[in-house]
Amino acid sequence: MEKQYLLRCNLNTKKVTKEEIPENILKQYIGGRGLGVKYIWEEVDPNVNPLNRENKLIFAVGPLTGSSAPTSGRYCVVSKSPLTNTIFDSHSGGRFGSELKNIGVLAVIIEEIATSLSYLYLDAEDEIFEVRDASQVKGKTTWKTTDILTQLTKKQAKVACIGPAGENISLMACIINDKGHALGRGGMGAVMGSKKLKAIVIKGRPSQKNEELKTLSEKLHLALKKNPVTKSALPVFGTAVLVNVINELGMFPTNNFQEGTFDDAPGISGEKLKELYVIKNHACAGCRIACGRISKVSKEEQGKGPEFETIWAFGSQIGNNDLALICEINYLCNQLGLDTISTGNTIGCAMELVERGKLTNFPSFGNVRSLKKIITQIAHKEGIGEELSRGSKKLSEIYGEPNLSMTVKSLELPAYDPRGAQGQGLSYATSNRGGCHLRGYIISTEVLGTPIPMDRFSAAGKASIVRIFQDLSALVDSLVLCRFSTFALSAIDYAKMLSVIHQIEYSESDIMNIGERIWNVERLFNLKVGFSANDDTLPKRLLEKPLEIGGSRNRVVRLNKMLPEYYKIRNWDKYGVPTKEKLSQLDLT
Amino acid sequence: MDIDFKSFKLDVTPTQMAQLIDHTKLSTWEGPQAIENLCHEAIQFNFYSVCINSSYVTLAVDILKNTDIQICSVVGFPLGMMNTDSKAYETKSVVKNGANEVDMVINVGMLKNGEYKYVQDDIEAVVSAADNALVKVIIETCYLTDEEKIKACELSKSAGAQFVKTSTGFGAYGAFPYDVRLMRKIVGTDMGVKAAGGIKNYADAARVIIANDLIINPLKFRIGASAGINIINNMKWMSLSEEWSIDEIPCHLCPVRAATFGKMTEAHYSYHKSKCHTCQYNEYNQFYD
Repeated sequence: MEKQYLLRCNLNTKKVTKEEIPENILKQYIGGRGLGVKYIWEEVDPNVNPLNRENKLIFAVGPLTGSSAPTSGRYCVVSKSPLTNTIFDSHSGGRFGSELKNIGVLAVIIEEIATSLSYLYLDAEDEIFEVRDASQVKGKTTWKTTDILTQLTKKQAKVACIGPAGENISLMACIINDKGHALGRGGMGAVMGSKKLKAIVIKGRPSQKNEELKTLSEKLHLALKKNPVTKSALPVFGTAVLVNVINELGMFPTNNFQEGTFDDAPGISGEKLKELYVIKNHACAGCRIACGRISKVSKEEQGKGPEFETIWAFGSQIGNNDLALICEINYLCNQLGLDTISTGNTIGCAMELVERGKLTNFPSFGNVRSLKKIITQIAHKEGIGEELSRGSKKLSEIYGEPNLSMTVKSLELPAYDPRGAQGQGLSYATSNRGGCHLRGYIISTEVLGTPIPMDRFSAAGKASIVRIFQDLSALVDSLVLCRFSTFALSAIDYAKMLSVIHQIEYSESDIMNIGERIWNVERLFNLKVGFSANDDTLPKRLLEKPLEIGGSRNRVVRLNKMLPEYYKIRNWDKYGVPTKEKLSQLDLT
Repeated sequence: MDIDFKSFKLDVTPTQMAQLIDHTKLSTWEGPQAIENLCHEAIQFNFYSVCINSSYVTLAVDILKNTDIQICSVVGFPLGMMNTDSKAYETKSVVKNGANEVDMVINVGMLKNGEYKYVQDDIEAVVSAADNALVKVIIETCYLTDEEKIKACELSKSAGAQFVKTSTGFGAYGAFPYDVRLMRKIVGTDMGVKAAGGIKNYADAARVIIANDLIINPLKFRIGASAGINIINNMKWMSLSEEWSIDEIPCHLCPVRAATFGKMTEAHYSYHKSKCHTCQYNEYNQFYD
């Protein structure tokens, strides 16, 4: 196996050092999410305040990043989240990931806090690895920051940076790379802001392609080309293709999850977006799906996206049917460095507080004229924006209505109402990073019918399928491939790719064990933080109040039935704690 | 229907599944490059045959000459309304060019008007012209009543064809388990049944295999699909859990629900709907999923 390295950057001393990653860590955790989780587990006290100097922020890529493997142009960050207090990993596409791989390391560990606002410059061409002053970009948007820093360094350099939201430590702040790709969730931008790190600027050196992997990759690209989701739905309409689909099924959360059907969904659909505003498709490095969109509302208002979740968060979640405004808000969030899912969801929560008379001087559902101002206030933590910037959970608690927060472990839920998809409900509840659809995208089987269709209303067998999806997702995130590859590829395909890179034969069960190990380490971390089985739950509304109309009416999530089964399948005790036997099996004792 | 469709966990390996699949490319716009790709995919996945239009038989023979992959050409496709001589001539031509199998379309109009002798003669002419090549008779179930489907199967059997096939894939809808089961019941175990049209994933394939009494023998059962690779790829997930299942409702298995007013005569559409209204499973017919 080829030696792999990481960079360790102490922002306080401005020292950047290179160290070898032990081979056993590479075999057991691969890269990306797994590698980051391993180092956070080893080096960060679970009880640390995520915004203190002791927390670390790890940028990581995988062994396949920047290679010919399908959808391999991504990267991730791992840290302890200030929004959820859990261990957290967030992922993004674009070109930054490939560039990071081209500086010859699998990870960059950011430690301590800089004395003043700084950026990290990593240039493999000129062998410059240093912490630099970032006062020129203080307070600037992510787009301006990117422009200025590439002017100051190299035009072809890639930039991942925070905007005003990150600098002001809004808990919903994200990290933006390539002017529109987001490490969106969990307030990773706030962690970066707390370290006074404005950006990482990277210029790599192109590496040699692996011929054996190239041959294998061609076969796997063919599989993607033959899958209905990756060959047509995503390339033609982008992720927004889901708006009409999910709405028809009555699981398109509307007005803060009070309803599951939005009458104006066709007007904010992927089809409508394509008709009115999309000017071209956009692909991340090495991707042939090209699900990304470049949209243009006016000469001044254009950029990447919006994606499905963003359309939902600033559409039906807040009762808004103005697609042009959704596009503009998307560009604004990208510039300010805000996670669109958490921001839209939290605004929806605030609107319901207004509906219940708990909050005044804030717009009600569908009243969106002041939306841009509110979002800017969130980024700058001004006025009501200060309260909203802490996320929906804390906001709802401030106003004495905690049940109005549509979150799991304080992370705002995304655009699928689980009352219409039982397995997705279990997946949300047991997610290690909170209310996230990507820890285990059961929508794939329950709604899209791939790889095998399952009855979305049935709880039977879902615990087993959720476990598979979660473990496989941990694996794919550690190879750092796009989740969309799982529509067409399966564990054995990933095993083959890793076997080529590591020159070690991995079987399907080897690879699933790696995913399971990562999942269990995350669980152990969260247990040490103080999370328990009580946190593996959903907002009360989803468990007790059936939707009244639409394709998912008269149903709630039957978590009580699925959760014990899930613990059993995971070989965890009834408190959700991994048994000694399981830990031993995963080499975690 | 008289079968439990709840579990998709079949005792079928991907290799066996590939050997049931006619890897198909029949669209009007496909050029030689697409057929070359199809043949190379068939080699890679070891599909039983490639199913193509007659104009590409020579090309496919050239690519597949050193393999066991069969070459299946459609004849009288997709409408089946040309005269018998034309079908016989096309059959002779494709067999001469190297096709081992012929998928012919019956004259649906003649069948629906009771011209049974014409239909049988039409099939016999193709069987005769095919020499030793295997003949599958496409009855285009979407345009037939159950009585007509039964008659079409009987005529195909009498005419000496080896297979009956549900659909062209160009009609109002494709293969449904209900039709596969009905056809199997009529032709017995002597003949083969091919399910084709709309089989896009492993679940669709599993449904028709179950409907066909789990016969895993390419000489008795075949799946015609352009999504063969997706079907095989889906199967890789089966080893990861025992729990893949669906609470199947009868309407998912029945073609009536797929009837579309714009794609068939008013009378035939009404036939579908009248069946639905009197069906014992009518309560399941809710269109929200």
